[in-house]
Amino acid sequence: MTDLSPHERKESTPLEVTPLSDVDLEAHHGARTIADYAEHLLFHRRIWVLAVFCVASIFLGWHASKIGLEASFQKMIPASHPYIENYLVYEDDLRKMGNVLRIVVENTGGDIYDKDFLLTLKKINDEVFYIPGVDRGNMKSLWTPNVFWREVTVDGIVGGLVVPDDFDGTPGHVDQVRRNVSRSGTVGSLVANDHRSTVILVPLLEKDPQTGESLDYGLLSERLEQLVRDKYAAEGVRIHITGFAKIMGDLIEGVRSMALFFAVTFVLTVGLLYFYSRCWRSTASVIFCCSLAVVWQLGVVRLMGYALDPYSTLVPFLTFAIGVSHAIQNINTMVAERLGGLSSVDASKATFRLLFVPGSVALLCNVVGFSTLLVIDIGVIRELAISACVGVLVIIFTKIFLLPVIMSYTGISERGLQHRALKVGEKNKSLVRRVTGDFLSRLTERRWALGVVLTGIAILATSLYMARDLRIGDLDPGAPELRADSRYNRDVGFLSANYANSADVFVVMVKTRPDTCGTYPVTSAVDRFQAVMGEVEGVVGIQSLVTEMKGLNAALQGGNLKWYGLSRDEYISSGTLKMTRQDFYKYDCSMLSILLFLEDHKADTLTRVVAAAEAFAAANNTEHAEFLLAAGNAGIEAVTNIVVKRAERLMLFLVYGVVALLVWWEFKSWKVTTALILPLLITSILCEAIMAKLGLGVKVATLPVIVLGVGIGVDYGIYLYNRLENYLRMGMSLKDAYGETLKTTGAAIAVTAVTLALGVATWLFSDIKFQADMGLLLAIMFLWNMVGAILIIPAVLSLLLPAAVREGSPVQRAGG
Amino acid sequence: MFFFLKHSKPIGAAAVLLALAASAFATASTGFVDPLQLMARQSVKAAARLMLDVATLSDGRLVAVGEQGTIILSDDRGRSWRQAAVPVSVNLTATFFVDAASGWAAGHDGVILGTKDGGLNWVRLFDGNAVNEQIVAAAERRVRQARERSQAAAATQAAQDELDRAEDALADAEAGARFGPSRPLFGIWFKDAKQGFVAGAFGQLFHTEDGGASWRYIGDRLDNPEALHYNAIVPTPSGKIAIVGEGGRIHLSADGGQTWQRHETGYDGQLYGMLALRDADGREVFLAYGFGGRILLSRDGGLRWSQVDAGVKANIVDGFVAADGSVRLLTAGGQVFRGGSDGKPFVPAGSDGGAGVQKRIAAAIPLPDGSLVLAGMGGIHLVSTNGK
Repeated sequence: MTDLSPHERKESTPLEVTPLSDVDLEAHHGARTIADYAEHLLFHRRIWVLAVFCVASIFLGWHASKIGLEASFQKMIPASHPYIENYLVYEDDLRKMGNVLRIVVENTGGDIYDKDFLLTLKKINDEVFYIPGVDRGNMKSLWTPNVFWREVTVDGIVGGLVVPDDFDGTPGHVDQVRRNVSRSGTVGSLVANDHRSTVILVPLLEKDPQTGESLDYGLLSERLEQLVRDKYAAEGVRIHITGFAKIMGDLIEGVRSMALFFAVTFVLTVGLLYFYSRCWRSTASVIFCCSLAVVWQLGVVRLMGYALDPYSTLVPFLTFAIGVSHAIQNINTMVAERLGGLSSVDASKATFRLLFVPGSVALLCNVVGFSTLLVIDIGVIRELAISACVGVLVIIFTKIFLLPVIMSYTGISERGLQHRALKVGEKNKSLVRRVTGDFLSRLTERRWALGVVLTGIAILATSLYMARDLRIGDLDPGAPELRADSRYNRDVGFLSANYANSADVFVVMVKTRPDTCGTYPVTSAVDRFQAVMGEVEGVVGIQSLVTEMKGLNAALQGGNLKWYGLSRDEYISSGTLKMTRQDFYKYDCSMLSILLFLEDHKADTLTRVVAAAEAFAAANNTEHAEFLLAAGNAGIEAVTNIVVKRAERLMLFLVYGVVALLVWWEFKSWKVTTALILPLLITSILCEAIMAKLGLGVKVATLPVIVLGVGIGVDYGIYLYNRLENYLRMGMSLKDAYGETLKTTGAAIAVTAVTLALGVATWLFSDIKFQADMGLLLAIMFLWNMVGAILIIPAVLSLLLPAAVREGSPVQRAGG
Repeated sequence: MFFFLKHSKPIGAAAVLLALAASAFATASTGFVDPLQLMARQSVKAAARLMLDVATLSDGRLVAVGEQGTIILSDDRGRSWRQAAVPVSVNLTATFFVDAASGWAAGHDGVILGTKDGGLNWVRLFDGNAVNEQIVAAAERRVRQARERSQAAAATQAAQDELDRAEDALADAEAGARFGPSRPLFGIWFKDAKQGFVAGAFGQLFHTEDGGASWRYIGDRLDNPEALHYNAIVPTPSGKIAIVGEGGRIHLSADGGQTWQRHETGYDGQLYGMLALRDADGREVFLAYGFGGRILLSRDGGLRWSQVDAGVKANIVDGFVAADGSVRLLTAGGQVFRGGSDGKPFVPAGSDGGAGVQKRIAAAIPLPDGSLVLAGMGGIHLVSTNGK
């Protein structure tokens, strides 16, 4: 609802000789009183107004400058889904296997059994040890004193450190390391299958135990880059770093680079605005006010306690673009009033009066549209919604209140006025004019209209057909947040090519009574669960306490496979339990976790795993062992997919419902509502078809796109129909009315669409994949909504409106 | 619970009541699904699950047993497998068939199963609950006899010592029964469709004379006071029965299991099996194999043993006599070694069976075409040897 609601028709041009009747303003009598009051307040003491805005801007600007960058895991997941609640209960216990960095040190000149390499590895190990946030006691590498080799002998199990305490780099010692590695069972986990690289496992502390401060992922990631990757690249090793914290670090890095994108958007918008207005004064005024809106938005958002995350970074772009596209109306109106002979101050007053109610109503409608996003129970989307609402609300202040005051000083340059007079006064000469005026107005003839509507429906049907391939979730390997060819995902690729386990881990938690996680009633149930899950397509490996215990029972019996299994004997089970890594169970033995390694994190795979695990849990949960979904990156993603899938439909219904209701309320006609909603619907479905074709899944990042696209896209229709209705009321035929509408507002609509599209198009180049996806889809939606509005609205109207209206006769209200 | 009844009556009755109450409480509050009472799940990838033993029937059918009650059979020499109906879900470790129809399988928790239709359908014949009853009953019998003897007028110090030992043994037996059926069985051999033996961990040995319908604990007939594990039962060409196991010990019975003679091989680790054959001179030769690549040879019926080298450190888990009369031994890593009864070192047998097999192997049988069916981690692996 960008520009214009019915009332804005009064933004008259020289050709529009309609007197500025205040029919609608009278209908909103209360609003008018406010408008009068506000006008007086603003223009009586303009300098005071500027002073107040100045103070507010300094205050908010100071806050805006302090806004933090953030990438919070918790906010990117559907935190109140029961499965996520299960995870959150055990978050700390799962952390030691969840929030772990894997620093792979690769010897570029051979295998790891090399004196220089091992000594470099030690240096890196020590370097990492002192990076703040590292859980030093649980670090694991060839150089930490917690990595052992084990060997089964007649007497039982013997073992020792993989790298001997007194390692001095002599060939004898290097050989010893080689031998110890092969019997340590760490090949595939700590040492690569090809023995050319090795991992430093770095668990992280979410909160600093001394200061209690949360881990700063941005800083951590920076330190890793400087102190590890860059520093040791010269020493014949290559570093690969993977882990949740690194993804977060890279995301924050990506958000930081959004400043550059904003600069590009800014310059492009300035150019576009100048091209449209040919007036530096108004261009500068508009850009100033809209930039101020961005500053205010950031300031208010910070005051509300939020930071900028990779999703909410979209909002400053949107705020700027919505601000500019609305402000085009100010320029239009102002120019018209000036051409009508008013002074700059009076023209500004008139502009304010004319745009106050419609502008506010349109912006408030945007707020209502955006709030439908709140139904999605994912922190980042809610924050995006709130922050977008803030952005739109501050536009009311800077664009509706401040801009007219500023423009009362700056005014419109002569050149701008001439350009406008020329453009509007021109009598169907240029090719563009002929196309817009003649060709497009033919769309109102029934023959053509039918063709257009049928084409639209054909596009709709084709898109629906293509959108069947639309998937939920992320489809590419690696971290879906980042581009497939990003350094992070190349590092993940290296890890999965050279090490045994996949990076996609689905964790099922098993809740037990305290001290019973290793007892037979629990472990035998887990064993059966693992047998079932091991046969689910896409599960490539399973690890758990139970897997370890079964293996240990065989190992303790000389490696005899016939002993492989679980024992009912509690002396045996508690003995083997003590020998397993503690990573797999909660310290009080009241929960154990089962790691399912998956082939990929495609939605189909996740759905199969969830279904199988749910079915087993439903049939087998007892007081001994309660199987709970879900943790691990794949588990969280599976739940996110579930929530996204459910939210998608609900949100579509809501946003279309709300928008349709608002349109109906505004025009009181279901025919007009149909005409305005149909192009949006086609665009939404087309957008889904494009997503399916491009292999983009429906995910957290693409959900808001539809809402933003529809919420903002309906503005074109309102804008267009508003004007059209005005001409129809003057007694013009539909064809003539549409021709006139295109003349006066066609360019404005196009500029609005291009402004909005530009605002998000620079995102295409973001390092963060979902930002690029959002940018692409939003740009497509903004442009297509415009095309749809111009082509389809008149066609539908010509099919639906009664002949009397089509042919043109003075009727009070079109539609019905 | 039956063994309680063998106590004096009042105690027995009280114990039964207690046990009933306990079990009622247990079922009401826990809902523990006992794998011993659970039909084996039908699996789409049954042949890829952990398999621990494989047998050939007289009609060429292959039957393999493995984890969680999985039993699979193949009528096309191992190419395709189907899963049998099995009443338990515990790991099965050994199987034996006397003809194309009658077979048995044994496994964890003292389970013994039987089939009459060549392995398609199985019934439970025995399990660890009965095992515990019999072992405790046998220990109680021994205590009773020892007590009678020590109370006799001419009681010797030896009789008193025996009573102490018997009481210790009873305490051990009761401790072993405390957690229910928890002891695995590893070896199974039937002389014919009626007479059979099953051996297992902690000195378990059972005998049946009615095809498995009833089993009798005869572990107390063997000289094994430490209750060391038994891993395999092997018939010898001269009609003896050998049991090999932990501590490098071999127990031989020449009278169908009535009495047993213990032999030490001089090695004190695990022996997993033994081949008993006749050499060119008709003498009986024993080749025992086990932990850490150990191969032991005896040419005098188990009295004296010598070591045979194979240059391998991996466990040797199975062996057989090939078509040409030479011996093949198989390591847990899937390597095949060839040798004979002459005491010369075993050598890798041509294209080693483990070339493509990185998994751990538990058992193997040769097929008529010279290829091998291996059972172990990852299920069944078919490997061809070079036929030598």
